[in-house]
Amino acid sequence: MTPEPTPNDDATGLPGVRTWRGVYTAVLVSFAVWIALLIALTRTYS
Amino acid sequence: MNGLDYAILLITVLGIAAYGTWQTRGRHTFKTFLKGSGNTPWFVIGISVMATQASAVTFLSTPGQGYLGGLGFVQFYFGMPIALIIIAAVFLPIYRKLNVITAYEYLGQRFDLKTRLLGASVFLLQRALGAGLTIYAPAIVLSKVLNWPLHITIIGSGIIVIIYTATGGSDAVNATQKYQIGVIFAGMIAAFVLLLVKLPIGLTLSDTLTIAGSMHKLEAVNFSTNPGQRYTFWSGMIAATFHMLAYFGTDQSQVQRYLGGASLRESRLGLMFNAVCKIPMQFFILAIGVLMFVNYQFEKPPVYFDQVAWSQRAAQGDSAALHGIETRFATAHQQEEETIDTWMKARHAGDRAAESAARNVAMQAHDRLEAIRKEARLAVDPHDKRNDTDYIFITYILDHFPHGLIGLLVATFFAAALSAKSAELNALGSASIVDFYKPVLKPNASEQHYLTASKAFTIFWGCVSITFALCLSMAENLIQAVNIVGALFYPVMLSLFVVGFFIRGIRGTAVFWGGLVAQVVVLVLFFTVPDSTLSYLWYNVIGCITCVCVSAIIQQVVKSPNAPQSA
Repeated sequence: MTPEPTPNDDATGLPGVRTWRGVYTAVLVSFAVWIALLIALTRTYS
Repeated sequence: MNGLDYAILLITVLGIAAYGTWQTRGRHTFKTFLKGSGNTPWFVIGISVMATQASAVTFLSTPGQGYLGGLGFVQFYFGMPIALIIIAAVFLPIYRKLNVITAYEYLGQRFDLKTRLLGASVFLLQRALGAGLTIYAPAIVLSKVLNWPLHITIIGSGIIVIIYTATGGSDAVNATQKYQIGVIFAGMIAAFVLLLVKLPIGLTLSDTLTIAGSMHKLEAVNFSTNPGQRYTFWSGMIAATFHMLAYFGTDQSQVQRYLGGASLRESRLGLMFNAVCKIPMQFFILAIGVLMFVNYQFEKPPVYFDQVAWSQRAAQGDSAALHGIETRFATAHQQEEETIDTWMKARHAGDRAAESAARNVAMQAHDRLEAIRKEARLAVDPHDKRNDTDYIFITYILDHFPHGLIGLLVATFFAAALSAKSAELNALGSASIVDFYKPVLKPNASEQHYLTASKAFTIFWGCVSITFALCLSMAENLIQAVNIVGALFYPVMLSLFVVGFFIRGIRGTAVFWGGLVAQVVVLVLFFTVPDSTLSYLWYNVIGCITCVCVSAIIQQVVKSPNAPQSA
């Protein structure tokens, strides 16, 4: 069954992004980049 | 379809289903059947969450949506990264700490039994409706490909999913979804490449984008503040965030996928995988529709893509009128093709004035073509309730793709249907047994009894969804219909959890009545306010705020603590 949260749960295990706050920030940055690209596509070809 | 296509279709679909059943043979207890073994790595969770959301509807209907409406639908997914971060940071740790099987168990622990049953009931109702829509998509494909009656293909594809979900459970769903999504991506990438290859010789990528952009197919972001416009930047960022929070955070078909993770870390990473990948994926699928649109500027499409409905209408005595529409459509398409050709020649010659003039002529020709298409739609259904959007992609596949690839793409639709439908049935069975049967009807039975009952409920809900699919008459295209059904019930589901997680002072009775009032408000809005005035996505925001406010007011009036327990 689902184990109790352990100290390992706090580590992301990702190279370069060690905290969950860092992971969430990276996700938001990639989201912002996509929005910017979509706006650029819209403005260029409409 | 020829023998090669059928072979690829059968090997893919039956092979995946058999693999899932074999992989999980004899390893079920009641809890692992519902929740999985609890050792699923993040990548499998990520794929499973993605495959559960991306049903056959996504791959059948979304390219058609891109063909007709362009890239604007991608804005619906703008709320997803934000919602998934909130779920990973707040919802998930609480679910894992309480070691729940269904999300609604949390409501029982935080509030009381009636609030738990309210949440579970709303989920069962909306997911059973949604499952009916999910099964409709592959049935359309089979009906078109095999020329079989739709009700036969609905029953046939429904039975395949029921057998393998009831025998395999949650582990089978997780085990097979990674292969299903592999088939899906292979099929969609092949379709994208082939559409690029099939563009007319001499037409550059820049020309393609210019044509699509001029015909309003590349308007990916719209900053309009009109609440009657379905997909805008603001409805995506605000209303869709509520919608996604409800779907991924409280809909058991999704919660069940990530609760099977080996640790909190694995579940979180699985969600973040989706937060990063979903918008590019939807953009890519919509782009397939846009490419199809440009291809059809140089080759005449059917005036109405649901050719079975068109033929039926002709057989009812309107064949002369319909033939007249087809003839005018062919002439108008020929004119449009010539004007686009002139436009592109002027563009390649660098003559700006001639390019601008030719572009305007091409736009007028396109408008005439669209007017004839609307005439054709009204000829099939004078009330304009039928929609041929879902038939666009499958028509293109069958008319233009080589054999072998046709089989792969039809298998894609089935793989997507199997993965989403099995996850839905698994979740419906779980909620029925964990939230109703076990606590209310039979509290002290054996594990074996509950396992058997879980399988029985899975079969029951499969039959309910098949029955619903048989009764469907589509007024919307499928991808929008699925989201509209969700928006009718998600506000209440989400608001129960929002109150539970974030507002400590409110107790069970207050939130129960607050939820019921919110449900009534949403249904009244749906039946009385036209969609052109208030788009369905905003129901999520209005319903959630209504529940929170009404609950707070009732709590202030009643002031009677009822099972005060906070997470």
